[in-house]
Amino acid sequence: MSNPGEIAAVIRAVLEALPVDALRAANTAAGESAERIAAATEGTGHDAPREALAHIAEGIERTGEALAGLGEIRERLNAYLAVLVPGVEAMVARPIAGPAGKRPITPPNRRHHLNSVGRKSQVREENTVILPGTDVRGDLDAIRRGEAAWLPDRDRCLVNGRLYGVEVPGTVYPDEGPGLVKLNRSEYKALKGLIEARGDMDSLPSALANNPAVTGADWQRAAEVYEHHKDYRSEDT
Amino acid sequence: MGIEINFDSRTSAQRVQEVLCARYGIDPALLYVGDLGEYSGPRLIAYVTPAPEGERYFACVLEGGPEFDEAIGGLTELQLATLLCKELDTRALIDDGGGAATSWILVTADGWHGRVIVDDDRLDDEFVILEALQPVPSAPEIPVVEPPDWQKGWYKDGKIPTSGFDPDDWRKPSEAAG
Repeated sequence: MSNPGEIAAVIRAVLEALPVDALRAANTAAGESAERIAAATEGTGHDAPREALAHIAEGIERTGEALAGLGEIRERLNAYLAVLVPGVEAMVARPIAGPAGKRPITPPNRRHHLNSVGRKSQVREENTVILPGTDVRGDLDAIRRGEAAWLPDRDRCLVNGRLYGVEVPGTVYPDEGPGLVKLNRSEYKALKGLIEARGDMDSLPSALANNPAVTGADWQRAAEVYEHHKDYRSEDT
Repeated sequence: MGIEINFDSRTSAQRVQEVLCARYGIDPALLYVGDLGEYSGPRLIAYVTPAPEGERYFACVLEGGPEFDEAIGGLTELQLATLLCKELDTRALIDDGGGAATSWILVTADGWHGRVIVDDDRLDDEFVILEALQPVPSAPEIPVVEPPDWQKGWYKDGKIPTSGFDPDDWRKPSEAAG
């Protein structure tokens, strides 16, 4: 059980079940009865009522100690609830829409980050590259806090101007927006080649140079993106 | 647009070339079979990389450029993959066109196709199918999971790829979307 709402509900149930008030009332009544009995039997010379009253007094004292302990527990639970409830109420007031409200979400695969694109990075028909300095982590935190807009007509999250989708296991992937660049299949392949050649068009991997799917325009687009790569030097390309 | 089809690793790259050249009259010299890094010759229109020795899964890859698209009469990846899988009695994975990197289309030897989810942790090395988003008739052993209710967001036009033997799926995506 990790949901704060569930925890708060359990604490409330325990507080309700704690018999503090009833016990206190019963104990007070028992004390008053014992006093009346003591008054009525005073001077009779019988030992039995005196012994019985001593036992009752001891019981009342023990019950009083237990009541003090229960009161302390109640106080602590109430203090905990006071901290928990505002959070729970905030959650209730702003439910997290979309996938993030249904399962834990995880950051985009590293192949999306420009500086992590490698020779083996899987290529898709469309590939969104995250440029360095783009606060994807901040976006994810905002999504988790329920601060992102969920666009039901597009089934995507919008946060800080960036659109994100969510895969089956809860992995977030970048779609479009500031700091995100969309490349088609051959452009992304050209980018991988440029990264491998550290921007030197003369030392491109021969497999890519021979690739019939990669054309001049692809290299140009890839070069524009490569300018943001950590290995880029202005004299490159 | 270009074509990229990832055939089951047991597929003969040579046979892929033979079928394509025979069916579409492509000059075999322009459809290379082998490691492209070792190629030197005229500008290719397509190539087939055989699966490396011992490679499992889907490592025999056909890739073609714009001239290859023309040579095959503008078939889509799905159309071509279906045709070749039936002809070569094999199966293949192709891109499903969406933003979710783990969702691919499996094409089987009987001409069926449908979406499967591959292992994201191994995706940069190999295609390992974890589950299917609908039953796969020829591979009932693949576990089936319900697609998430936000799957529409994976596709820029919001159109979820269909599955099955339906010949309508052979239309180009833009037509099928309408």
